[in-house]
Amino acid sequence: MEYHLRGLSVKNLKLFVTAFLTMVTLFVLVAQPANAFDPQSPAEERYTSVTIFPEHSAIKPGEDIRIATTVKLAPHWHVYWSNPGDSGLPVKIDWKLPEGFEISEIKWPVPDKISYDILVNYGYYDSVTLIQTLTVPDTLPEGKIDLEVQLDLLVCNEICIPESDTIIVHLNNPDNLDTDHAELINKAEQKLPKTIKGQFFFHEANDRLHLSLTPEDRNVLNGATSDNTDFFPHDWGIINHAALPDATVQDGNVVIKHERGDQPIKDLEHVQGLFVIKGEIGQNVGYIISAKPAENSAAPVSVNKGNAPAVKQNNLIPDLIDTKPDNSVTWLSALYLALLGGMVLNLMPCVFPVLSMKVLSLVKMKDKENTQARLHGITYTLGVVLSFLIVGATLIILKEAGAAIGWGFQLQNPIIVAALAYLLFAVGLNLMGFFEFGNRLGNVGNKLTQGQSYGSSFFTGVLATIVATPCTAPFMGVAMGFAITQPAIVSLSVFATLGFGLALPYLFLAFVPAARHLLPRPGAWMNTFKQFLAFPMFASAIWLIWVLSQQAGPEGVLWALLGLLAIAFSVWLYYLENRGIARALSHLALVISLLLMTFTLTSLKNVRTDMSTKDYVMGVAYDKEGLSALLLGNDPVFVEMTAAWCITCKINHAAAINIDSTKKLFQDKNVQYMIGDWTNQDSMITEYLDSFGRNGVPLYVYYGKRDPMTQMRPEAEVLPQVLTSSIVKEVIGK
Amino acid sequence: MLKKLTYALLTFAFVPFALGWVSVPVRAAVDVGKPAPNFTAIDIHGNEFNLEDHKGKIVVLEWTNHQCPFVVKHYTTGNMQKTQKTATDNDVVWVSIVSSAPGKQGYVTPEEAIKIEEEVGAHATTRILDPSGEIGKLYAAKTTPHMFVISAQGNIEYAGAIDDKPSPRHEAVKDAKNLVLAALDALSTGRDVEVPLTTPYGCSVKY
Repeated sequence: MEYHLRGLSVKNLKLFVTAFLTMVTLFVLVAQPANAFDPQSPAEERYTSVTIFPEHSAIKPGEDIRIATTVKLAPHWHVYWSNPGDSGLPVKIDWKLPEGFEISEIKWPVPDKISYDILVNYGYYDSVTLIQTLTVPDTLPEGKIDLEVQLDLLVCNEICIPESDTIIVHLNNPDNLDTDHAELINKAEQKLPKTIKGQFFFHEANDRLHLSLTPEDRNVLNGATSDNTDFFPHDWGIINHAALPDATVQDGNVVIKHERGDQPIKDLEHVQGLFVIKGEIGQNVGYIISAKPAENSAAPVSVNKGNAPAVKQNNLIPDLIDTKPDNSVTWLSALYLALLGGMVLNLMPCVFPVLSMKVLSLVKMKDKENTQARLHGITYTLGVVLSFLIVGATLIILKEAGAAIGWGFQLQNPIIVAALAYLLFAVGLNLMGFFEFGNRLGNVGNKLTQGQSYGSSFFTGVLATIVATPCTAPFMGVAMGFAITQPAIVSLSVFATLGFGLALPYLFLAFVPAARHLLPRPGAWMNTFKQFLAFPMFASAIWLIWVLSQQAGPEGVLWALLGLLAIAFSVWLYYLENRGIARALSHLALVISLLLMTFTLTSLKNVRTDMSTKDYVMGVAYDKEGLSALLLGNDPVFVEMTAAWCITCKINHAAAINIDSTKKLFQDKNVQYMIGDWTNQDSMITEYLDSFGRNGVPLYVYYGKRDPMTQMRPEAEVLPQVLTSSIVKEVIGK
Repeated sequence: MLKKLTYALLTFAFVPFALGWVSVPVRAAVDVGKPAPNFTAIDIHGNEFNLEDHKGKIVVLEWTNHQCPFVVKHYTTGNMQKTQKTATDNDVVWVSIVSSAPGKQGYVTPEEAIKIEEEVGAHATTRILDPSGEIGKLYAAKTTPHMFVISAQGNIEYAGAIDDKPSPRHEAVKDAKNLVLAALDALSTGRDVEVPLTTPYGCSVKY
């Protein structure tokens, strides 16, 4: 018991002269060492005084009453929150209760962050009121009831002193039945953190805890800035308390990045704590949140078929890269991007002809046919939106079933690619005037001059969606990536909006006669124009066959082209004079073409596209371990994720990457260049896309070179989906 | 021109981030299962202590401050000395470290430290004074006591509290489970440490 006083030299004492109170206590400590650190003995000098008061002193059987414990503190001294932080102990209240009584957990007010050098604590200065609920049993004894409370706390100001109290709470005391502390407790409750609803997610990246918080009630974020928002975890070891948070507040969403603590975040099922908007001491506002793991950190299930390599579990990448899923994307901004993306889809070469024909039908309509035009607009929109919902639902269901797929998945199947090529070819033949579709499937052709049924408007919408699927328009990627990680209802809303965006220009023309007047007058040119539009269709078909060649090799192409031949033959037979046998043969040819389509699959497993030896001479093929190895080195790394069927990818590659200036830039800066080819299903690449909150290609990521000073890489940078050489130069050259 | 201006503005916008980045050190903390960072120091008897020299033996690091009520609890009850004796009797190297800065609680000169050791009857292998806080910060030692157990292979296999009763009350020692002894027991019998990471409790280290 003696030794702990040895160090109390004059030098030590000097430190404590700041407060007279402290001096007095030290005197006491020196004079009475036996009492000084023994919490059992009554301390002569105290830094806290504790009072406990019930809501009202007269209690009724079976009721719940609130009980407040107020700790008043000497100036500059503090006590601790439920999570004390790096050191210290929370205030402990032990109730000795007669049978039948129950006491709740403590409700803690929002604490302050208290820093000492590299250590940070959470606690309270001046005065703090902790609230509990006492449950009174259904049967109560007559007369006075005394409850004993044992209170232990650690009070600190640079040094720490344990203090304890035994307090008796008198209830139903006949001498004092009128006490009412309800007002006081109501006031104290205002300092408690509030419970809020919303979307709260967490994941770990680059040794940091990332929290993405989207409260349902946007008013919560009033007054929140990147400087005053913080996160106080309920549990020890989640974050390094001493590190400063890196917060961004945007569009009803807060992202807080915080250096992690000693606990491995990967194993956590949830991260609980307070989202805090800081104020003056004792004036922090806090909200209770419980964040779930962000879905994109879940390990994808591999669905290997044929040539797809098995996924190697390798945790190196998440450790090395600060993946940045677009946390800033909110539902509203995703909807906005989806709308924009849908509208841009109209300009894609495969969609454009279909839409043009649809618009031409409007040209014919006179103003007095307004109602008709509107109905066409509505049915067309319905067709598009419903088709998008079906595609979206399919994607969600497959995802739920564990498939590692993303937007564009439909084109990873050669049968669908071949089917689309057939469809585009048939539409092209139709536009050329070789034949008419039946009444049902999107009559884009000959009936133009006779007006159309609403049914055909609907199916044109369906057709527009189908031909739009090969294209991921700019702006769509972010929206899709967001959609796929959200609950089904949210993601379906994004898909529906995308469809609505696609339908919007037509809808607009249908509803605004004045806009229709801007279109050219109807005339003979329309027929010529219609025939001309067959060529973009044929071009799209050729492109799809080329995609197929990468998926199914030369044999697949042979089968698919024979299928096209069969279609043409079928059309020719159908319109022969002699109808009987020719018609039968025509149907037969059609069936054959469909059979040939499935043949493309047979040659699938022989092909593995190797981007490094094809037109991508400069890059090496993406693989997870390769990237990990590159990132362990010092050179900057550029990753491109692409697919043969992705037009945007092709254009970007040709315009921004596969050009002399970029090649030279890569060489000069020692940029290691990796390409992932998502033409076929590849769960390794899907996983990578996921880690950036994306769900489709293109994706361009740049990892800056390791800083020789700090030995750290800057955060990975995601480049825009519409790439120009100047953007590349800007990002890499800086 | 406009484009250049935009870039310039963007660049400026990123300057604080760049600066912030540079000032953020590599996560100064130890991870259980990872190698223990090495350090060299002169102990209170004037001998050099180099952690790496003790590879092959289990090493315990104990952060201490003789004026901290929690440390007092473990020394007046004899709990810490008993733990040290059990450890050192089994060929474990026990290092007590004082990271209190000059002028702060727990700071001592080597002479004072030797006296304290004698008086409390410590059974540590050695005691190191770390007034600069360098070793403490290397291990992100947060409290006194804060315990680290390093395997013979040089990996941190336990970090956290001395026992599972975070209380300054002396009688709490009686029913407490000694987590350091549990870790030592597991390591010496070749098992995995059951609870490798706990919340350390006590006074803050007085850096």
